[in-house]
Amino acid sequence: MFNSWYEFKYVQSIKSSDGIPLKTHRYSFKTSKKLRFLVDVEEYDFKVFIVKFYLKSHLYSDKRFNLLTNDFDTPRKLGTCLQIMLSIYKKQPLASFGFIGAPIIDDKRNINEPESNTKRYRIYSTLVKSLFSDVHFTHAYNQRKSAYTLINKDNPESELFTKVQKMFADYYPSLG
Amino acid sequence: MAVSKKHREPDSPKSGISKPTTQVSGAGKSLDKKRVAGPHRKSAAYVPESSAPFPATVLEKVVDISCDADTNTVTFLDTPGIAENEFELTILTKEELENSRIKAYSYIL
Repeated sequence: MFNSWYEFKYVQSIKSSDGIPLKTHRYSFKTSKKLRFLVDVEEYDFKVFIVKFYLKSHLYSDKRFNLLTNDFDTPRKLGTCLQIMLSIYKKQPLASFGFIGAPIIDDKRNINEPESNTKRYRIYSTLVKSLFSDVHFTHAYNQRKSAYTLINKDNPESELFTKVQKMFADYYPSLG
Repeated sequence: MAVSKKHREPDSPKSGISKPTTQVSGAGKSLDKKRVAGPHRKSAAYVPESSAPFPATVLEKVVDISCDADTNTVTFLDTPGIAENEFELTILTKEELENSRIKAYSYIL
């Protein structure tokens, strides 16, 4: 189901002025319904990459991660994001990954999902649990914040797990 | 029925009678940090005599409050068990991972 994907292309890397994240690597792909999606992979310290994607036309919306596109093409879009993660892993075998399942906001249908254990989080986390073994990655989650991380076991950084937790707590106090 | 332009609700700001407001030190801001309201804080511009100094019933639902009448301080305590700025991740055990995955899928890594 998630083993098909769209052809994607690397667009650019954007350096943050404050260094948080260090860089954002932007990728792009077009679906069969001619919708253009952007995948922003934020690179943090300790080779941690956070994957986010959204419809290009929502680029300037504060709710770009929350809105639904209703194109019923989720498996292939997620398959594309997985392929982007794999392409990063090939270049950086010590990379760790993470994501947050953003709560759904749909004003038309009066849906305003709470941030805990969101629908997106439940789908994405089940997917990565099913596709990434515990051979290379430690799976860790925070259901309250709908956050999930795959911490690379091959990374020789000492106490990497603790450092990653602390890094996100420092950078994003709202996660705590 | 058309309403005359001169007609205004009694509480309308343009009627000349402003609605009394109670300003609370720290209200409207994040409550997750320890705050101490001390004498250096400016007092509210106008507090009706009948009003409580702060809407404790609302705040107490959000944070614990410690009041010291001697020193005239109010301290907002951290939520018990959750340290400030703590972002906790729970590690999945091998068994939990195995039980919660869709077994029809093959690992890609």
